[in-house]
Amino acid sequence: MNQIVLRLVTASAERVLGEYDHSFSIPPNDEFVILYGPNGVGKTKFLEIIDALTRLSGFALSSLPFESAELTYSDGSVLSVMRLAVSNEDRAELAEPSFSVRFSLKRPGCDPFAWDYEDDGFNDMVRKSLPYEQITEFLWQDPNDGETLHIDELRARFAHRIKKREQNTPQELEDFVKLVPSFLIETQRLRIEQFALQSASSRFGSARSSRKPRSRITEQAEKIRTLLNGAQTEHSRITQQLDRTFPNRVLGSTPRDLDSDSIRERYNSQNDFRSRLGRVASVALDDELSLPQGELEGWELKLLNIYLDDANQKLAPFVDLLTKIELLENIVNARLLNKQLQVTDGEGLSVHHTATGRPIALDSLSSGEQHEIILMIDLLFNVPRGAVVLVDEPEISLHVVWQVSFIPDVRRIAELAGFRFVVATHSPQIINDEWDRAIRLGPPEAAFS
Amino acid sequence: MREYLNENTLFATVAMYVQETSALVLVVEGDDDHLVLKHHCSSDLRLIAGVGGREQVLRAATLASRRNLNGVRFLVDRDYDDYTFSDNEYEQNVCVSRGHDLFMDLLSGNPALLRRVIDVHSASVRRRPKESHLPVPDPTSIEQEALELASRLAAVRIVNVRRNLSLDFKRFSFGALNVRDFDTRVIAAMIMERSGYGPEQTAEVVQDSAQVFEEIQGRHDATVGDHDLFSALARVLRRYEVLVRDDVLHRSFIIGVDCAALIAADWFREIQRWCARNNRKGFTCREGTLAA
Repeated sequence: MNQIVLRLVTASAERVLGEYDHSFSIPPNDEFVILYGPNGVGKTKFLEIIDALTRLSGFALSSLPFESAELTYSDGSVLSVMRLAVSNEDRAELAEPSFSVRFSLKRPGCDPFAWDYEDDGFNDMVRKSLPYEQITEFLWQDPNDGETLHIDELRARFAHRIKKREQNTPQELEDFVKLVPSFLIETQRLRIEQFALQSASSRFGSARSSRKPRSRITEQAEKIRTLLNGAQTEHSRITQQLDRTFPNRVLGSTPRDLDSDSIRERYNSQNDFRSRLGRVASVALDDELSLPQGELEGWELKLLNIYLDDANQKLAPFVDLLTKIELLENIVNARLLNKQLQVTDGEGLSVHHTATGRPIALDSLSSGEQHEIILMIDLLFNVPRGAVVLVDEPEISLHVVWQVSFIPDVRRIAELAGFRFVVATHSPQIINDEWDRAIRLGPPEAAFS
Repeated sequence: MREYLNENTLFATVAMYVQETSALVLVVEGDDDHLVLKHHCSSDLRLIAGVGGREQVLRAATLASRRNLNGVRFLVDRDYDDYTFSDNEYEQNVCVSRGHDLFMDLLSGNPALLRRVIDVHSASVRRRPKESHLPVPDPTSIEQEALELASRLAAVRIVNVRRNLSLDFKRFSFGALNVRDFDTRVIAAMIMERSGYGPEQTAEVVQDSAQVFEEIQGRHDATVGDHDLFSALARVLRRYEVLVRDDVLHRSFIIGVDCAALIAADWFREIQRWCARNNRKGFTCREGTLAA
């Protein structure tokens, strides 16, 4: 379903870390903005606030250090949030103050709408009464035995221990945030975030889960493989459907104004695409048919026209995917030294030594190489179209040459994948010739002449 | 890696620094300038060395000027700007050497500096003269001989700039020059030949260079570059069996740079005034002090 996506125009947050007011705007026809500033002014927190607000993550916002934040969009909509201290006698024993979060939405032509997310105290209860420690926004781990549970699993088990009930997010807000997706790329891109939850026959029973970490780059390879396999499945489905009706459509077609040159042009263009696709996917492609020399007869034109229309439909699932894959290979291979990245439907990603052809395990790539590949795959394949991408300190582990290329590369990807981006950085090399798009966050500067 | 650092990254580095510090920033052309000045800067004045040479520093200065970045000055060598017939306008945030470069300004500010360097390096040979060797002249004579030799090359450089010849000076070395070839015409002819020019144009440039040499006599500080001077000095010293490399002479000079030399430089005083306007100390040298 094609959904209208709104563009983020301005973002602001007040009293980040208790003392800094941050804001930026992205001109409507611009693609990105760069944020820089000294350590300790809350650049990362600002990105996290924007991301949590566009995901309506009341839990995340309740624990982020700020007072209020506001996002405005291209149609004039304003999504805002306030973080309010909660006075709760039931929880007076807690050392840290508790916060509720009030979301507000103003849309042109609609009445303003507000919703209070109030922390039900479940996380505090887990922290205080259970052995689990929080390791990500949603994952908790028991350090005694390594058991890792999602917050939903914990709730299923222990929600009865708290008095309040979890609230449901209003549909109106849910519908709005689908129009304003965001995608946060954190500094710790290599962190193991995926946990394969496997049933383990242990004294803890089937509900106990063991933690099986997979590296991010392996996960990304699997993601690419899944996308290619999905496209192949779709290709097969379309092929079966079209092949079944092909004779009838040929016999029933009415003559159209067709000429040999345009048919040959389309035919050659499709063959080019097939040969590009054949490099990454082992999809069953029709053998190349050599067209007869000279002017084509009317019946030949009619037949070939339907054949080419069908082929277009069959190949459609690969079009965007192949373009992205080629851009990924193009960007990454321009960076790797003596190594070549290749995308295949068998392995997803594979890397070989350029001179010897020796395969190189993905996990054995340097952290800088892994950072680059993971980041590019995230941007190309994981970011929803129309999203605002928030990239935190992309310079980490990147050689200065790669840093200088970063913004131009992401712009190429953004153009293809259809997103805008915000980069928080400390690197002059990342900023390079884009100073006019760089916005400083931090206390007032000293006034010099 | 240096080719990936450009005026934009230099400007961004400076801007990010200036905005987060209470100190002023002075950008210099390279490591040697940084070495000379760093021991004379207070904590109010931070030095940043550019990596892409004078042109990159000047382009970064233009970016800073256009973007109204205050709190920074860019210190560059004048080089042969006065000989290009073009209207060289520097940004207001640029301080330029009065002579060819910063080192030549320091040399003219305290002429005793170079003579001390010559004296120290030639002392052992002077103390133990050999009959087969030429007697080592006094440091002032050696200095004059080196300046004159370097001026001969400077004349060719000026002609190069004026005629926009793109001569390849890297293929010329004083070290390979015989004493009988301490001649502007010979030097010009060698450089022209090694830069791939034919006899006709060579003859013109040789003639032109000889004429320029006559014109620039006595204006060493404005025409001779520091690197040429130390190369010429090493060659002149070798004539008297004093074997010392040009980079060693250069380092010795850097070690010897004192407040007297710095205070005499126009750019030093200009930077000090700028620091004072911003209520910052700037350099630690003060009038009347001998050393920082």
